[in-house]
Amino acid sequence: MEKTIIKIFDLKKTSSIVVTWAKAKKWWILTLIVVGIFIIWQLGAIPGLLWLLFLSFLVFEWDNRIIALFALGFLVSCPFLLIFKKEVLAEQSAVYAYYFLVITVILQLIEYTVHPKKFSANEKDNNI
Amino acid sequence: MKLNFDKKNFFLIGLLLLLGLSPLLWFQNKMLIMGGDFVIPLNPRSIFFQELPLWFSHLNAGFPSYFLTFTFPFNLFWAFLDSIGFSLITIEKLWFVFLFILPGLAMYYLLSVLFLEKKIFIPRLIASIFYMFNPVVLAVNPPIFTSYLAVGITPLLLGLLIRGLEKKEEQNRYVFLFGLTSFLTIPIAANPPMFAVVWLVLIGYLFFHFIFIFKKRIQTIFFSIKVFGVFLLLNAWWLIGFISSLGGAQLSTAKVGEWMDWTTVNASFLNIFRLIGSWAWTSSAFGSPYASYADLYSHPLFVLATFIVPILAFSALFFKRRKKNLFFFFLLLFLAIFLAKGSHTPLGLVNKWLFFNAPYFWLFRGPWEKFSFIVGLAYSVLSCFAISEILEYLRKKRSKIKLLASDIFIPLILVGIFIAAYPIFSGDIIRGNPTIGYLPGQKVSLPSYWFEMSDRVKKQKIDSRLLLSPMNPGLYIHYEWGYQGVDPAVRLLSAPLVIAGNGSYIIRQNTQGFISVIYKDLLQDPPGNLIKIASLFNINSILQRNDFDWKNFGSFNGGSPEYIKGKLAEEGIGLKETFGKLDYYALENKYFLPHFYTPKNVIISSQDLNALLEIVSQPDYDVRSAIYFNDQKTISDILFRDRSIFYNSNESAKENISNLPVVEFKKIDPTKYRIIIHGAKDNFPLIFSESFHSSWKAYIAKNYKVSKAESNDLAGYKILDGNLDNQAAADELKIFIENGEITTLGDLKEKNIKHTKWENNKEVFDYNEKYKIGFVSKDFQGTIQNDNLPNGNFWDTWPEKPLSEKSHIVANGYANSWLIEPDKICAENKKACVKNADGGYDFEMIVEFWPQRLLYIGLFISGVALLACFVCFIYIWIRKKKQEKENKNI
Repeated sequence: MEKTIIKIFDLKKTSSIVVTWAKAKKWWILTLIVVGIFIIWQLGAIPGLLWLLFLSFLVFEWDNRIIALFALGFLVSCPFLLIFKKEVLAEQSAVYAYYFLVITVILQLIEYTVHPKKFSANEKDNNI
Repeated sequence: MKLNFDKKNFFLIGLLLLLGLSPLLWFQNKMLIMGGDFVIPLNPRSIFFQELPLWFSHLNAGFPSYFLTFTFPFNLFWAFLDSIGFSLITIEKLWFVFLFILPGLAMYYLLSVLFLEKKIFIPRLIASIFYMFNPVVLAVNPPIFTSYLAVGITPLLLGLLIRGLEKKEEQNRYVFLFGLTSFLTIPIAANPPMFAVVWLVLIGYLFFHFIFIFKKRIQTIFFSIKVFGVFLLLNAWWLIGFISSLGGAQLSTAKVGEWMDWTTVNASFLNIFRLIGSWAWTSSAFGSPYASYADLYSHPLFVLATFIVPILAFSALFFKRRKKNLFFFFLLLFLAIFLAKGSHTPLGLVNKWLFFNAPYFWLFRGPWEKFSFIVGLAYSVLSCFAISEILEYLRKKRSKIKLLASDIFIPLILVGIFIAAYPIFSGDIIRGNPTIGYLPGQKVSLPSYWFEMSDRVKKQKIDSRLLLSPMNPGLYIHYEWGYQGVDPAVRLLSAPLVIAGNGSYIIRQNTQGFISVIYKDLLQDPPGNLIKIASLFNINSILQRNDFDWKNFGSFNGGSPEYIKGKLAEEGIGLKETFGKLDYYALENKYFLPHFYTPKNVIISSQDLNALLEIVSQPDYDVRSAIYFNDQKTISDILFRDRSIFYNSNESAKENISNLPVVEFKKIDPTKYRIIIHGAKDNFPLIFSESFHSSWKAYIAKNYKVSKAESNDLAGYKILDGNLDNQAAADELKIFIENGEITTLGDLKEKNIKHTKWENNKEVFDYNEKYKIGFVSKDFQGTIQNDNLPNGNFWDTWPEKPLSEKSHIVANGYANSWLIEPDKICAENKKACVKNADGGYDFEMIVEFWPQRLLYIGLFISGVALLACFVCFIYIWIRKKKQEKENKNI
C-alpha cells in the first residue's frame, strides 16, 4: 500500500503505468463504460457510480481495501457531522458507509472464493 | 488446538460475572420491576402449574396454550426459588443477573472458539463486555426476557456449532451440548419471530460453512442432520404441543405495514450503526418519554462513544490474515443492518416487499427489535478481531508513541463502551416515576391487599370463575398505585379469571364475543341481566378493583367505582368482603351454574350472540338453561326426535327437558375432568362451560364399577376454610349419599392443606389444616363437584374412542356441549352402565383435551433421547480415557 502511494505521486511514472495498463485492458474498460452509462441512465448517477465502482474492482481485481477505506471514512465522518449538528449530512454519510461496506464484503467474498490461498486457511500459521 | 481454561480465563470470566451484577443497581426501595409487556409471575408456584398443560384454563374460559414454553427455565426458576422461601424481589434480582451475565459469558465462549490464541484474551474480554453493555440492551431489555434470552443464547449456540464443525473427532459431544443448551431457547419460542431469528443465524452459519468451506461439505451435512435431529428429539416434549397449540390462533397483524413503519421510524443507518434505532427512543405516552435517557445520546461525548465499536468493526475489513468464518460475520453485519432498518429509507420498498411477499416475513413486523442484537453480535466478533490486530501492530513496532498508544487503546475503548451504556449503570434502563407527563414507571410496589385477595382466592375449592371489574381498556391497564402494563391480576390470582382482552397479542375469537356481552351489560343502565349472563360463563364472583385508574389512560369507559358499586347493588349481587381497595362480590348460590351442568331448558335461536341479552331478559328465562345459536337440526334430531321445533328467523324456540340426571364431577387438571352421571333416563345435553374446541373429547369409561359412599364415613367431615358458602354441609352430604348422588368420599385417610400467606413479597407458611374428606360442593343446578373422585391414569382414554363429533356442538355461543343418549351408550357398552331400580342409568365419562397426550408422548421421546445422549456421552468419555491411557503406555 505504501509503495503504491509513493508511486502515485511520481506523476510521470504513474501516467505511463496507467496508459500501459489501459492499453492492455481497453476492451474491458470500454465494456465497463458502456455498462456504466446504461446503469446511470436506468438507476441514476449515484447508484450507477456505485455499481461501476463495484464492477471495476471486480473485473480488474484491484485491492478492495480501498473501498473499505471509503466505508470507514464515511463512517468516521458521521460522529463529527453529528457533533456539528449536520444531521442530514451525517445520515447521508452513514448510507454511503453502508453501501461501501456491502461492496467490500461482496468483493472480499468473491476474492476468497476465487483465490482462497490468499487467505491463510492454516490455523497454526494464522494468529486468528 | 484445545481451548485453554487457564488462570487468565478464570480471572476474565470472574470479571464478567462481576459486571453481570449490574442489574442489582436497577432495584430500589424493595420495589418490583414490572410493567409494559412484562409481568413477573407474582404467584410463581401457581403459575408453574397453570402454564404447564396445553390448555390454559386460567383465563376467559380457556384456550389452547403455548405457555408451556415458559416452563423451563423461566417458571421453574421462579417456582423453585419461591418454594424454598425466596422473596419475589430476590428472585427477580437473581433472574435479571442470570439474564445479564448470559450474553457476556456466551460471547466470551464464541470468541474463544473463533480466536484460540492466548494473546487475544483482552480483545475477547472487551468484545464480551461490549455485548453485555451496548445500547441494544436498552431496547431489547432484560425484563422482556423472551427477547433477551435470544441475545444471550445465540452466541453460545453458534460457538458450539462452530466448534462441532471444526473438531470432527469431538463432534458428537458438541451435538449433545448443543441439544442441552437449546433448552434455554424454549421461552424464546413464545416470541416466534425472535425464535426464528436465532435459528436463522444458526442455519445461516451452516449454510455458509457448506458453501464456502470447500473440503468439509459432506461433514457439514452430516453434522447439521445430527444437530437438528438431537434438537428435535430433546425438545419434543414442548415442540409437539407448542405447534399443535398454535392452530386456531390469530395474530393481531392486521396492519403489518403500518406497524413496521412506526417501529422503524428511528431505524436509519446512522442510528443502527450506533445501536439506538428503537422507536421508543423518541416516543412518549401520556406526556412521558419512554426513554428518558435518549437526549443524552446527542451529547458529543455519547456520540463519539457510540461510534467507537462500529468503527473498530468496520476496520476489520482491512486485515487480510483472517479466519474464513469471519466472512460470515461480515455478511451477518450487513444483512442484519439492512433487515433492522425495516421500511426506513433508503431501499425501504425492498424491505416492505420482503415483508409482504416472502413467506412468514410478516412475523418480523418490529424489525429493529428482532435484528438489532445481531448487529451487536457481529460488532462484538469483528471488533475483537480488529482490536487484536491493532494491538499486535502497535506492539510490534518499537516506537514509544506506538507503545503508548497500545497502552491507552484498551482503556479508551472500555470508557467508550461504558459511556454508551450509561443508562444501564444509572438504572434509567428501567423507567422510573415520570418527571413530566403521567406514564407510570416500571418500579412498582404492589399493595399488600392484592396479596390478601390472592390468599382468599387460593382457599376456594369450587370450580368457578372470577369476573374482574371494571372492564380492562385494552391489553394494558392502569392502577393508581403506579402501574401501567399487562394485567398483574392474571399473574397473581390463582382462580380462573374473566377479563376483557386476554392479556396477549394472540386473539382467541371463541369467547371474546360473549365476554363483550358481559361487560356491555355491566355498563348498561337500567339493570340488565348480569347474573343470568354471568352464570352462563361459570362466574360466581366479581372483583371490583377500586384502585383502577379509571380516569386517565382511556379507562373511563369501564365505569367509575361508584357507578359499578351501584350497578352491582341494583343487580342484587352482594358485597362479600373488602380487601383494601378491592371489593369481592359473590353471586347467590341459586344463580351459580357449575362447570358441568345439564340444562332444564334448551333455547334454540337462529340469531347469533347479539341476541343473548334479549333471550336472557325474557321473564320466563331460567338460569338453568342452554342456548344454541347453531346446529338446530342436530339438537332436534337427538333431543327432540318426536317433537317438531318451530322457529323462524325472528323467534327463539324453547323446550323443556325432564328427567335430568345428577352430575358429579371432578377437575383432575385443566385438561381432564371425570364425570359420573347418576340416573340418566332420557337424552340430555351436557354443557361444559369451557371455550369450545374440537379437541375436547368426551369418552365413556368402559368399565364403570358401582361405588357408593357410606353415611358412616362422614365422621370427621369438615367444611374446609374459606368454603362455607359452596361446600356441602354434613347433613346435605348425607342426603347426597342416601340418594346415591355421591360415588366416593376418597380413602378417608388424614390429609393436610398447608396454608400460606404473603408477607413482604414472600409466600410464608401460615398454618396446617387437617382433613379426611375432600371438598364436596352443594348441589348447584343438579351438579355436585366431588374432589374425592379418583384421578385415574393419564393414559385412561388412550385406547378408547370418543363420542361422535356430531354430538359435540357449541352451546351458549362459546361453550362445549355433548348431546348424551343414555340408551344408545348403554346398549353399545353394557359394562359401562349400571341400571338403577328406577330405570335410570349411572355411567362414567371422561372429558379430555386430547392434545395433552402430545405433551406426554413428547416427554417420553425427550426423556429417552436425553438418556441415550447421556449414555453416548459417558461411553465416548470412557473410550477417550482408555485411549489416552493406552497412548501413555505406548
